[in-house]
Amino acid sequence: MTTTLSSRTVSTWNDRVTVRVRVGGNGPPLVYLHPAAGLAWDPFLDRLAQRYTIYAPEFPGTTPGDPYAIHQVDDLWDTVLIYEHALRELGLTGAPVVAQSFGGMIAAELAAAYPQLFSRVVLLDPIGLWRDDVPVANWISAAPTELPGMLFADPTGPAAQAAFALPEDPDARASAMAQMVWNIGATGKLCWPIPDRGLDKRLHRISAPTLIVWGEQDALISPVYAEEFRSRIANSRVELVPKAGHIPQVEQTDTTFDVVSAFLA
Amino acid sequence: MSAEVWSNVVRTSCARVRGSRAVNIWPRPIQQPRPPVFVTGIGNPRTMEFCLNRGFGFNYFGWFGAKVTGRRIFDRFWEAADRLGKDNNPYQMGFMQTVCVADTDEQAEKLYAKHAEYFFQKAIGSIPMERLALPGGIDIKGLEFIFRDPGDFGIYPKMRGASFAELAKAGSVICGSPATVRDRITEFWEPARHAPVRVHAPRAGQGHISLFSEQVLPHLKPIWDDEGWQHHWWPEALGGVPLAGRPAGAEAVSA
Repeated sequence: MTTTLSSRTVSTWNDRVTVRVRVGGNGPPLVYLHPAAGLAWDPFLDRLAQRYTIYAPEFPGTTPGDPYAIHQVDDLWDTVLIYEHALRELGLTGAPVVAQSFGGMIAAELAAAYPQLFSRVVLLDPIGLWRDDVPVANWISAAPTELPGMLFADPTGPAAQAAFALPEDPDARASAMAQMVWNIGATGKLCWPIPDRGLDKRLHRISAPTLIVWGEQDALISPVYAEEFRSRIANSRVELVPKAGHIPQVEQTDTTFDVVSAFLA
Repeated sequence: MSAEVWSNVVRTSCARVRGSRAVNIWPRPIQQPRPPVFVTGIGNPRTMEFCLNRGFGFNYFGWFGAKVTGRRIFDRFWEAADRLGKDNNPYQMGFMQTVCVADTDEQAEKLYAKHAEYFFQKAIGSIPMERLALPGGIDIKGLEFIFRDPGDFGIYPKMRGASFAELAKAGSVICGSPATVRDRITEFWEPARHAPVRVHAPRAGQGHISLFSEQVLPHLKPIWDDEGWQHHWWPEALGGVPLAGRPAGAEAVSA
């Protein structure tokens, strides 16, 4: 990681939830919403941070040291209101958003609920829709050995290895593993057992220009969902990223950065 | 909510997950406002603290092999009690153990070994870890414990193919004559300061129940008598003593 990060905190939900927002980079503000396993600062964000000041709010419960914040969040509507409050308090109304997977669902919900909140929306392999004929894989109950194949086109490649690397120190390793499982449980509150909370009925409300990016070999949520999003969002288009699974910005950083930065420019 | 519906006639529930206009269970328990409560766990320190803070009993499941896991779990409970300034009343710590009794050790093994193997191999031994520890089901402090030291899971990793001899050695099952069963339970019991034992008996017949109740239980019951503790987690009608000012285990429940 080359970006120097700082933290901002915002008291929300009538002071019951403190949202920590990681901030880094130079330039106009950009909101990043992380996937189900929590915020991980990757080289894609480093590159975006050269052009933007990235604000990355952490989903309640996923901030280290504050796990029980998730107990204050009952459902999706609570989440949308908490995020909207946090972004408004930070003066981020009108900024673009880039969001991955679980974060993509949150970004889409926010953009649908508050059409003026984001200037542009980039959804990277978002969850939130469901088709019985192409079910989304169940990452919450997957065995650790299944996850690389679920998330990466090349499960043994360097991107996959880096993503699953753990600290060598036993205590730090245990804490990191516990935090990851806890994060998946916390975010699972909004997507267990089926990651569909009715987003398909609300996507039509999104008015911001929207880019839908999908790894061509996404095994967690099939690229056929890209068209499902596109057909429901008026001002949207799709970019498929070859040789990439569920996390194209990590597995094919250059290609993904090029299409995202061109769209945001 | 369970505690409230045990004691109220009809309750309107505004539960966070599912609202019900009327919750009315029937039959209602004899104990009022409610029966004593034991919460079962596998060693998560947060569950232990929850029990201690609320005055509930904590019940440990010995399926992972009480001989290899029990002591560390029991010690952890009493450390938590010390830390929270609670009594170390042995009756507050329960222990669920698979027990099989017959007239002799040989007969017990002949009668029960294949059933014990079937139970452990096909039931808990066949649940993969990612389902047993499904995200969201275990508190983060419990997860840290598990990842730092997976010893709490005892012989679980090989339980799917565990032989009777391995299950017996680990303490997942205590099987034998009344004398053997007595001795083995007492091995756990005294140093660990747990008192109530819930007996799980695969394929238990009348013979097993009679042998246990007549030749094992009477030796175990008085073990803490000389310390003078009262049993607050036992039905009053059977000799339990309510906590001061309220029926046995009558603290409010809202978790």
